[in-house]
Order: sequence, then C-alpha cells, then structure tokens
Amino acid sequence: MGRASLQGSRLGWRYGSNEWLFREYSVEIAPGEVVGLMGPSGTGKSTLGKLLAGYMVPTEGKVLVGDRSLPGSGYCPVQLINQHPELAVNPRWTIGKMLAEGWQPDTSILKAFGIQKSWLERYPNELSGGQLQRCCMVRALGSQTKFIVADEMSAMLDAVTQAEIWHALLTIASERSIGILAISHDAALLDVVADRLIGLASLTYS
Amino acid sequence: MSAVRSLTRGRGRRLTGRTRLLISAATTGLLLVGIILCSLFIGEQGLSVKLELRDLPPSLQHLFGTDWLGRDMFSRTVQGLTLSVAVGLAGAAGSTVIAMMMGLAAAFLGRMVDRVVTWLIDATLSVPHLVMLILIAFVSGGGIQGIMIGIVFTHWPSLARVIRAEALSVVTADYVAVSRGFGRTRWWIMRHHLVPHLLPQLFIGFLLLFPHAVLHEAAITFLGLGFSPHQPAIGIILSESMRYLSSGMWWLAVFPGLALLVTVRAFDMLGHSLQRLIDPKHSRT
Repeated sequence: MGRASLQGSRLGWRYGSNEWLFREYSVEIAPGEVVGLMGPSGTGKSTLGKLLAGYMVPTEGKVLVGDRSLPGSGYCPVQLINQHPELAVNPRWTIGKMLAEGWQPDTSILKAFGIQKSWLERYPNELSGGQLQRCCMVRALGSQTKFIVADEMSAMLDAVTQAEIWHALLTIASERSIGILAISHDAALLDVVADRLIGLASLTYS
Repeated sequence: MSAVRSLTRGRGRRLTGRTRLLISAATTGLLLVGIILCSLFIGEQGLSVKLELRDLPPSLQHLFGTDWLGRDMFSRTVQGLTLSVAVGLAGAAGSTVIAMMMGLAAAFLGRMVDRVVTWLIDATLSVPHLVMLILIAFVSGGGIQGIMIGIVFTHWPSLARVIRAEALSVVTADYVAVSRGFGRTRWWIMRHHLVPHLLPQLFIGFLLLFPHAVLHEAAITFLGLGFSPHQPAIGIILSESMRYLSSGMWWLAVFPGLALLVTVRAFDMLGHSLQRLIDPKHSRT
C-alpha cells in the first residue's frame, strides 16, 4: 500500500457547460516524491489540486491511488492544504479540538512544526496566519495520509517562516514517504523544494 | 432600543451592548415572572362578577379599573397576558423548529430540495400573515388549537431564510470540506460544525418571533376568530372595550393595550440586543 502512487489520469474540468478549464491532463506522483506545479493565475492549478484531493469530482477522467479511485467516504489518503488557513478551521473550535478532528498528533510532531502546548487551548483568531498554517499542516498529516497537495501553502508567509515550515513538512514526508504536489507561482521556492517540475504548458487544453 | 439609546445619549454616554442586553434580559425576566406570579395569585376568583363595583375608574383597589360587569381589569389583563404569552411561546417555538428543519433540509439535501424550500418560503411570505393565519386557524378548527397551528405555520419563513443562508455558508466552508476529507459523515458534520453555529441564531430567531406571535394572536382574537368570549385574551378584552369607549371608559382599552405593548417590546428589545451582541455585522441598526 505504501508504494501506491497518486495518479490523475486524463482529467478534465469545466463548470456546467462552460469552456473546458483543462482536459486530457494526466499527472503522477510517486510516494515520497515532491512535484512542483507552476503557472499563472486562473489556469486551473487550484482546481487540479481540489480534484486530486477529492474535494471535487472531475468532469472527465479519474483520480487513482494505486489502482483504486479515491474513497467516497472515510479518510481520504490525499489531503489538501490551502493558502488560507483561517478559512480551513472552524472559528469556534480550539486548536486542540481542531487538530483532533484529523488525528491525535504526538508531541514530537508538534515540536517539529514548532507548535506550543499553550496554543492548543486557544482559538484560531488568537494565532497568527503562519502559526495557524502550521497547525493545519499537522492536522493533515495523520497516519493514513499518503499524499499532500500544498496549494500556495506558504504564499502568505515571510521567507523565514516559509523555509521553516517547508523544512518541517519535507522531513516528515521523507520519513513516511508521503508524496507532495506543491502548487505555487513562486519559481524560486519550487526550485528548492521540488524533485521535478510540471508546467503550465501541459495543463492548458489546446 | 431607541428609547434606551436616546436616554443614554442625553447623558452623553452610550451603554455597551452587554449592559443593554443585561437590562433588557432583566426587564423581560421580571415581566414574565410578574405575569406568571400574578396570574397564580389571582386565580379564578379575581375574575368574578361584582355588579356593585361596575364601571369604576382606576383606583388603588382596582389598579386598572373595573368593567361593565364589575370585573377587576388588572386581573383580566394579567390573565389575558398569561394566555398570550403561552400561545406566543408555543407558536414561536413551533415556528423555530419548522424554520430549522426547512433551513437544514435546504442546505443538506441537494439543489432540488433547496429550490422547493425557497419556493415555499417565498410563497408563504407573499401572502399577508394575517390572511394566512385566519385561513389556517379556520381550517384547523378554530379555538386555541387553531390559533397555535396558524401561528406555527405562518411565522417560520423569515427565520427559515436566515437559517438556510447560514447553513449553506457552513456547508460550503473550507473547513467542512477538510472535515469530509477526514472521513467525517454528513451527520457528524451537521452535529459538530453546523448545529453549534446555528443555535444562537435559532435562539435569537425564537425571541424575535415571539412578539410577532403574540401580536398576531391578539389581532386574531380581536377579530373574534380565536377564543370563546369568556376567556380573557387581550384581543377579546380590546374588542369588547370598543363598545364602551364612547361612554368614556378609556381604562378598559388603555391598560390592557399598554400591557401587551410593553410585553412585546421587551421581548423585541431582548432579541435585538442579543442579536447585536452575537452577530453585530448582520443585525439591523
């Protein structure tokens, strides 16, 4: 099971009967591999991320983990981390409760992401964006997670914090051979973190 | 609300939302307790006919005066208010339950159900409340039961609209998508994410529906469609007093009317100040 790769095969997406955002797009991410996806805004990067994480059902094509499609219910092996952590948490829940919705993280992983014990009692609006994003990352890293789609995950952070959280994520990912799709418009960042880059040219439908 | 504000403005300072809420909650609570206690003490004998005490204007013995049969108007008003409050509470509670079910169904059961619910809301709102209320009360057999059913089935739409919008905003929120990714079921999400979010809205909705329900109950009994005439409902008292107004017996209408107004206003204020505190962005000013 640990060897299964994440595959998007001949994916296509459009809203209703509008123009195709992309079509016949295939992507494969091996366990432990970090793939960078680049491209300007409005070309369907985030949509692709959502399809791969099972947030939306592709209009065409299939998303497979190994040879099985994403489960309709139950824990999804592909987890999405997006740009706005403050939207990805219930504002009425404490950080501790919010983390527990995913799994029960142990102290070592909390330490690796620099999450302090005292934060667990706090509410999301009592943390900064960077702190909250780190909590969201930990939440997504349950033991059943095989792949992470990081959609502009660090775009709202300063360079130092960016380096820190990517370092933490890459360390965990290589330990557990979690595959990562890093979506960003920041070429320099992807150059550093990604093993291989896939571009926009293959994404646009022509 | 405006009364409180103009009062405080005159002194050059403003009450905070919390103080205002406490004041209106205390007022409403006192009023409710007062009504219930008084009606317990008065009982049936307070309503007895004493022909020698007919047509007395307000005095210390009879605070609200007496009517053409020598009945104490204070006792009758309190009894009427008890009845109104009971009908109002039951009607508002029933409406709130319907509003919640409609809102949740619209948000959770797909686009088709949503369309049906929205259409139902629009259809119910497009007919004047009172007309619907009279029709439903008439069809369901009249009396206290008819009025209750009528109130329950006419007052839900405005709240259902709010609940539907709130529920939709939660259902489409990012954190609910995340929750689904963790394998949480619809039911789990409804219980843990949605209901805690909706509870304060439902409570405010209930408080704001209550004065409506009471006023409509009074209106429909005023028109003679509700209770039998010997029951001292505020609406009946008011409609009876119409006949005696021309003979100068103003107290028959003024005190029961004022009592109704104060009760309704107190609940309205409580609802609005609570709404302002919980949801300052969406409350009307």
